[in-house]
Amino acid sequence: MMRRVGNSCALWRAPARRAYATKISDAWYDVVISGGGIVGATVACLLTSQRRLRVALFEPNAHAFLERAGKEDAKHEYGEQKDRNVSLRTSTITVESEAVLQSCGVWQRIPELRRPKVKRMVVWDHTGYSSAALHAASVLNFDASAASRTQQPEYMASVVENETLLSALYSQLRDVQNENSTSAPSCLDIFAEPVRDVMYNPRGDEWPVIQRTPQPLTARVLVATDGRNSNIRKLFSMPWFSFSYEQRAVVANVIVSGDEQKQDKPGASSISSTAFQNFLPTGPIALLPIRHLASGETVMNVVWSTSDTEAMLLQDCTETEFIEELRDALTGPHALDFKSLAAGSQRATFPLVFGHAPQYVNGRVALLGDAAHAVHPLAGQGVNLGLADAASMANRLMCAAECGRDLGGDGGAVLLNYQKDRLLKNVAMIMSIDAVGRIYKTPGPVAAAIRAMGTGIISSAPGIKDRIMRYAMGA
Amino acid sequence: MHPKLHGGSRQSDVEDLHGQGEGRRGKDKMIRSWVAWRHLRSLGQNVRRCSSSPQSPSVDAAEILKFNALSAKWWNTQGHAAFLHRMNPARVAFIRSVIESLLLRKDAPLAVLTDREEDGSGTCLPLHSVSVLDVGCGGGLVAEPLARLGAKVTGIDGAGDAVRVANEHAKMEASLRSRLEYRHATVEQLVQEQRAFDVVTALEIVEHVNQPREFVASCAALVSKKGGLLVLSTINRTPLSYAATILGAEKLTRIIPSGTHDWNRYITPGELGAVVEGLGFTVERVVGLHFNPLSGVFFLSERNLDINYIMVAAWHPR
Ligand SMILES: Cc1cc2nc3c(=O)[nH]c(=O)nc-3n(C[C@H](O)[C@H](O)[C@H](O)COP(=O)(O)OP(=O)(O)OC[C@H]3O[C@@H](n4cnc5c(N)ncnc54)[C@H](O)[C@@H]3O)c2cc1C
Repeated sequence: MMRRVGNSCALWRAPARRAYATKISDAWYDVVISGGGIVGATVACLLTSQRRLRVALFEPNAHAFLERAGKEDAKHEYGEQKDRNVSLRTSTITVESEAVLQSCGVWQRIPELRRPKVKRMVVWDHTGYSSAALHAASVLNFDASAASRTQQPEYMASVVENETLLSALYSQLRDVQNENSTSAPSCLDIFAEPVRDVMYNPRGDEWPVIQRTPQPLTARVLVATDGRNSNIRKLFSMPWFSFSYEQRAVVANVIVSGDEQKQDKPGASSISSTAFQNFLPTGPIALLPIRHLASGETVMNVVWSTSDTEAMLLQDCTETEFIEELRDALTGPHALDFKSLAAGSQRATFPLVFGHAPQYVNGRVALLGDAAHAVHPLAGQGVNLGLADAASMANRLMCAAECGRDLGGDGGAVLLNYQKDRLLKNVAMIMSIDAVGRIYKTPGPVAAAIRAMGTGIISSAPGIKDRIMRYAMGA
Repeated sequence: MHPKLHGGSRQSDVEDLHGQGEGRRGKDKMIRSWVAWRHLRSLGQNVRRCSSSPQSPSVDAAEILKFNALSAKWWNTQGHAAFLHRMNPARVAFIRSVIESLLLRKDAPLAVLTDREEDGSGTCLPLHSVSVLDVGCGGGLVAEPLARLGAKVTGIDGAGDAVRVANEHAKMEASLRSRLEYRHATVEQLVQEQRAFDVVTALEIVEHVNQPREFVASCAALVSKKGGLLVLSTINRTPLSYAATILGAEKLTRIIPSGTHDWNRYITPGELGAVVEGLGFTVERVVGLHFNPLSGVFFLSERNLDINYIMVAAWHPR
């Protein structure tokens, strides 16, 4: 089922040395960030939140991101939140990630309507589906409110469109920049271009020099957040282990209405705050609430992982056929009524690959986010792992700067601390996600519980593991 | 994100010292390197076994040569200075915090941390306008971070090669040039030149010099203004320090030649305090610096001064 792709598993190859720059300049930054996706933009927001370090961000789409951020702001001011079509890429943001975004003033910029909370999660599998009379034991219901005795928030995660999150990040960055130009000299420069080549500063100590015209830039630390095909990772010959799941994710937005009365006890959360996940023999299918409509219906984001061939069929079939397939796939304990695709919504497919860099740090260069680890979207953890990376890196760098340390110096000690913080945790999460992916064919409630544990949403909610244990033991 | 600096109880800094999460063997190596480094210190900085040096009470030529041979390794974090590199952020954070609280009297430091001015003047930096003398600067491990935080730092060392290493290393950062100066000189020379500084630091040296009283007096004479600070770090004379530095390092493991340390010459905080108070200083802070060999973490403690300690005294002339 899994196949190694190319020769991309050259583990622990000695990193090649970059050439020394012939042209250097005194233009330098504490941190240069290559790639301004969600993770890179978050690193930039965290590092500039105190206006104490000099940061440069390279992102080829920066103009578009900043422009959209401006438009979003205007919309929020006029209260038109409900108008925009829902975009296809969404992320579940765990409570921990929310705290990270809150700490740099980004989360507050997203109107509440745009980040619906998941209060309950329903996980079941094809064993329940296969018998006409639904086997209750193969359905897991997780209700966050039941676990709220501890002081944790009474929800598990929030769902945000990637576009919305990026807009909030870039409006924060734009504000930091605007403030710069009026008072202190700049602590953030955004370059709307990719990082093409990097060399070493011949003065020594391996300061990376980002090549660009007219003037190259020197960086104490180069943070690579340029996604799973990271150019920086390639430039510095950092090893990358990857294989393809030979699966694709089909993504779509559908309008769903649910009959509340039919299910559960009174007071249970409505489907508009429930995430659903069903493990089919071909792969998991997940449903996340993303927008409440005035009609009382909910727009839900579908991420359907399946074989390449079935993905093609799902992509190419008509809307009616797709809705029909969806109904079949999600027959289960919940009367979900799929109406249609959301207005203006297309379908898209993404290949599912696994990838991990066994070493995140090389000299003054560090990999974060998808550049360091690409995971299966079944647990919705890609962004959350990346945001945890961002928080650890920003924290380490700021603390080191307070002690007057050369951020990338001392043999990379500060960056290696970031690696120490994150490497094992990421590997543990990646392994559990992978394990969940592998055992989705195993029937029975215990397997279902393990599957559910693998999904970060569940494991991050309070008391849940406890409940699974009691559940699995027949309590 | 930004723990306020006060005293030495900054968990985050201390965690930062964790370095590369080395295993047990790494820690053994660290301890060896510390002991080796102490040995070097005793060669380079002091006079204990060659006290007849006429021109200066604290330098000896032959010993300095040996030290020179190893100076190039100052900045190798895995080499003989590894232990020092680990303890460094905790020391620097502490020195920064005492300068801010005792000299600059800032409660909430809100300055930028990097030099924004193209001329390198660093007017926004936390330690801007503070002049510091680092006696026994070695490769510049303390001088460089203090300069990065904005202080105007002069580093002196009796080993010429260490000074060369320090100079060479500082060249990598253009913004440090105007704030950092190293000299191959002794503290007595600077006294003769009538130099004056806001802060004088002498770290891990006092126990190695031949005439600690005179040495401390020379350092103190260079503190210029009222409220100016003298920062001294050394080893206490306790059964614990005897076990750690004499029994452990010299007799049992023989990592360093027997006789390198002379426990009887170690100085207790009480004795050192009496010396500085006799010079018109008031002891403001004394903290212990400890290494946890299990976690590989350095931490500061106000209560436990049994081995390494740092004393901060302010000059209050009557
Ligand atoms: C179908 C699917 C569904 C997913 N669903 C979820 C989910 O529900 N929850 C979740 O948490 N995660 C999910 N993920 C994963 C998530 O999208 C990624 O983990 C996350 O976007 C990674 O962010 P990043 O910033 O590291 O990388 P990216 O988002 O890939 O950003 C990289 C950025 O770098 C820029 N760039 C590229 N090259 C260069 C260069 N040379 N110089 C400068 N800039 C450059 C690019 O323009 C881009 O903006 C999903 C992924 C897929 C494929």
